[in-house]
Amino acid sequence: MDHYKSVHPLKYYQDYLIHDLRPDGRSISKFRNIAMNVDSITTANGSAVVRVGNTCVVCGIKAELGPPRTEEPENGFLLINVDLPSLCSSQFRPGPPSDKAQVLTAFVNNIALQCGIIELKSLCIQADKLVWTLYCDIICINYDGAVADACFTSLIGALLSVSLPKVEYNNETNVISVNEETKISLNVLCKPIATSFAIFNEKTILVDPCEEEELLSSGMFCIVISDNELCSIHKPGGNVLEEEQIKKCISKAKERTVLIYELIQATTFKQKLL
Amino acid sequence: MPVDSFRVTAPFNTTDYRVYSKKQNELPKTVQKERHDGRQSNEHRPIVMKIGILSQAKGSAYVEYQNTKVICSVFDPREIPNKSEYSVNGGLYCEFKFASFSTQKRRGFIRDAEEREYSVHLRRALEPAVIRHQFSNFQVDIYVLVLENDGSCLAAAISCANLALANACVPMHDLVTAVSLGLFGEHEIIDPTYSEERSCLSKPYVNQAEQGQGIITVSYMKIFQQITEIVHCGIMHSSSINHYIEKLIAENEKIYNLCRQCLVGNILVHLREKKETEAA
Repeated sequence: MDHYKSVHPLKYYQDYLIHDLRPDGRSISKFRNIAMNVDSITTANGSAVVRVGNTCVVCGIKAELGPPRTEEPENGFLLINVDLPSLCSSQFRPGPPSDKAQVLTAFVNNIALQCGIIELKSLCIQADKLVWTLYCDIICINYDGAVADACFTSLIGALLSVSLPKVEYNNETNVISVNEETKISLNVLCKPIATSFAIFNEKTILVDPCEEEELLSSGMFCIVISDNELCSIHKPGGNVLEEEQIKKCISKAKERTVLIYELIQATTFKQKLL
Repeated sequence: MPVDSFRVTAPFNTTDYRVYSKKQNELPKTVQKERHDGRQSNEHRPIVMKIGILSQAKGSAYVEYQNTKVICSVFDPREIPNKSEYSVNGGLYCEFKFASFSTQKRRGFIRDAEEREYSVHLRRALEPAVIRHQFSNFQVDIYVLVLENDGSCLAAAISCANLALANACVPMHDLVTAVSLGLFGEHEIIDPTYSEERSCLSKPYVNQAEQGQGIITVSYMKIFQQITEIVHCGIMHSSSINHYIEKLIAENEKIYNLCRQCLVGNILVHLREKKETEAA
């Protein structure tokens, strides 16, 4: 069986998919399990570890102080980087970030800033002088498909767990004083969650693909939903899809987003109880 | 500051807020007999070891010393890139990386000097244990990521990489383990935490020539009774080195037993699973 798989990987998959099954035992429209853990890294201001099946992603947020841009004196900075190190898969080589990592970074950043994931003005301490800069670094530990889903979930989880100290800025003396005893949490305004699909062929769309399925498919697409509203559909290439198929996928993504919200709420609530 | 065009960076330099903190994170200038986490001076922190946790890597391991968390993955041998002549011995390519949020002060994505230094120590500690002539002209990639650094991260990384190599079925003579020892005057502390490491390295302690200050990390192979790498920074009296190394070797033997237990446990689980699937 293993030889058949390595010689004819596409045919091997097709034989499974005819029976509405995948080699890992899931049906075509079944998602993998998601697990989440919040605030497990003490050196970060907020952190989350998310597992989608075998895919594993860690998001850590460090807050630092700095001056704002002159054009936007009241806006803080939310800087999101997605790192796909060579640790996570053999398809990435050591060196500067791969194209995949840069595309994913741009994708997550665009959506986070356009949706207004947090109010950038709430990161202001003193206009034109001092604002918070939140470095959100998402590191992939195991790359087994649907990384965008894990990235968004971990980002939201980490943002919800952020606690910042109270900072005062004296306008006359320019002295900054930090009080680490009082903790301020962030107000997360919207929670965009991505759901990945793989276009295997014109008729079959695989939900929540693993890495193997991603490589065999003609293309991927990603639907981002926030609070029952559509944020973005990202479909770089792949087969042509019909309207009906996309509608079906959107409703599937909506159902899953509700489940992920429940997961996020349960984990962050549990963390607060501890 | 080098400009990183591959990533999203802040337009201005930012500073850690702890610099302005009212509650000054003053480091204790001395190391007391009572350690701040209530441990004895020769007591190692509790260790968590797990292997085979990453599906994409050939072998992987996770090691946790309370707040020090290290993950490592090892991949299949591949041809040594940019090499024209034949090399009899295969190579080990080690990459040691701190996650940007792993330390108090944020770290950049680009590897800095400290990470490069640790990569070299890691390679030199592991090389003697690997039977390298079995994969001539090929190299095994070892990637270590420190998720959180609370001291002794090099020691944790060496033990972790060793477990990952064993998990990846790379031929090896023996298991390599490593332990750190912090020196501060008359105090010798096994497995120092980050704040203890900082105080041990704070300023040379030259008053008493017989006592030293600094950190020693020793990696050791138990069956061969050989030391693969010693990393020392700080000062110590030349006559006391044997005493320190004996102490570290004794501690290494304890960790060796844990590593073996972890590997054997993993094999037993696999055998049981295999039996169950055959029965079914």
